[in-house]
Amino acid sequence: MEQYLKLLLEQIRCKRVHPYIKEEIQAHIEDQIEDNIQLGMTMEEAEKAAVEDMGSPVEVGIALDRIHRPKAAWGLIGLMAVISIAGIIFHELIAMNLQKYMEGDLLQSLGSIGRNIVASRTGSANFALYTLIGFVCMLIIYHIDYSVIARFAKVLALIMIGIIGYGLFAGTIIGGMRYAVRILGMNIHMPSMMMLYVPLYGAIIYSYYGKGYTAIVKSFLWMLVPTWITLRLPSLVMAAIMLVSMSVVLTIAIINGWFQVSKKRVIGILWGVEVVLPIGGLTAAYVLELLETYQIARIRSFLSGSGDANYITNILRVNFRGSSLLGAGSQDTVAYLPNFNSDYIFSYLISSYGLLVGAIVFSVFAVLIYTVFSVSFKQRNQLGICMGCGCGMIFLLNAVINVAENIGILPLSTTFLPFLSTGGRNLIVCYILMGIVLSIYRYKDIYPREAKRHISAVE
Amino acid sequence: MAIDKSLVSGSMTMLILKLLSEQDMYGYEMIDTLRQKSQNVFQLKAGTLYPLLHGMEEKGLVTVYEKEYAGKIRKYYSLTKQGHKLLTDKTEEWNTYANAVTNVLAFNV
Repeated sequence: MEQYLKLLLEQIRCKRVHPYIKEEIQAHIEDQIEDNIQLGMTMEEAEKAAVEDMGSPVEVGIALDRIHRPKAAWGLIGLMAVISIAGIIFHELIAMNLQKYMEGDLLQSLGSIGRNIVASRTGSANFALYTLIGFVCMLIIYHIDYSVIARFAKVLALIMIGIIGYGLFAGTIIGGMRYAVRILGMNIHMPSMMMLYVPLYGAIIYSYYGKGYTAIVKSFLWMLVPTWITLRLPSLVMAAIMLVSMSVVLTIAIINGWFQVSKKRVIGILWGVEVVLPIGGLTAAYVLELLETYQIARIRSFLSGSGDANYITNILRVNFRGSSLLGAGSQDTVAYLPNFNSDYIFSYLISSYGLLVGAIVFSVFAVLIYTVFSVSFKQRNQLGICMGCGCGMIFLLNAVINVAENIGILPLSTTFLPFLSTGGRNLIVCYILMGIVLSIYRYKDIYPREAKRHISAVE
Repeated sequence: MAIDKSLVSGSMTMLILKLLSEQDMYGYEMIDTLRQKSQNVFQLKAGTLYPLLHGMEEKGLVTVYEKEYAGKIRKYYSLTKQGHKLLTDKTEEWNTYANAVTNVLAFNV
């Protein structure tokens, strides 16, 4: 029997699937041996007959190899390539467009606007490089099996929590915010890094598979602690994105029966807390004066429709209204909208190329995000579903919040449009998240539904 | 009576679907049940069954879950909605085909 199994498994190139197949075939042969013995055979005869009953190990192995092998995600990689190239061309155009300000004394005469323009131009000029780095990262992650990442989820998560915890006190303060922290000579941008926490969260709660209420409490802590620290950085938007994304991941896990708990009750509590906590927390922070001055100013000015912070929202609204269907609108964005190629790129897009182009970009995002969720739900492994949905939620929330802000529905905050806004860190992180999704697709026929006994996180 | 192999393999998917539509089963159980129900006409080799089952799983016709039975962890296969639909279609196709063959064979020239 051992020899039969060995020969069969040798035909299957993907080693990761070996334990599952071996287990099943071995159980089968053992059953057959037992039945044969009951029919009056000796142990030796029974084993021989059982193995003969199986058929040729080579043929079976080849047939199984054909099914269980990594699948190339050409469709999604192709879509990403198109998005990347479109983004690079778009930013090259912006950089070329801004070149005219660089000549002569024009820049000096523009003062602070000039400085904005220089910063924007640098952002766009570097876009191609960061996109390429991101794309390579994506392809590397795509070839790494996501369950390997999952195995180190808790360690990686603790490192991240450690970094932001440290950054909370020692981070570099830029404009009242501790966004970056210097560790081992590297500048780590904390809100960008925390986006990677969400797929890890899927893997962390996977290690609690089959457990009860204690596991739920632990899952809550793994969610709330980093969210709270991120909120205190303060990075309100990223904290909100993390909280909602992880809650969705946890809800999917509960619905799929990962935990031995009353599904309805726990989901009810989860989303009850979700609504009460932020509203209560924000009110408490407001009353207790825990919010930063600029946060209070932003909230006040958005609610009252006036003030400094509302200035840009008003520009964005004017831009949106002034856009034509196709082609440049009535507003010249470059001159008076700072960060027009990062945070407010969607506004720039519609005011420079028209609403139709904006709609196309929006549709491409819709297709991309739909594909991410569809890849996640269509594959069988539970870990893959949750990690994939975590990535999908990050793309979805960032895109929706950014576009809503750009057309003046939401108040200002630091947001970005995935794969399109300048800013190397966010770009690269998004490509890494996409790499995880691609890896989930690649290994969809390798891992069974519950691979818990074989892929489990390090405790 | 020995039955020509090609006649059996084509309809094997349908037979497995039918078995699973009655209850969830693990591999050995399927072979055993099939052997009994077909009065030993279908001596399905396990080597044929597993690639077929894994292929069906890949196509989303069945799902797998693990359950302990008689001291061993077994992989139970369960029919999905898509699997049920394919069974209905295949059964209909088979009945049409079988009727036609029977009619022609019964026709005395």
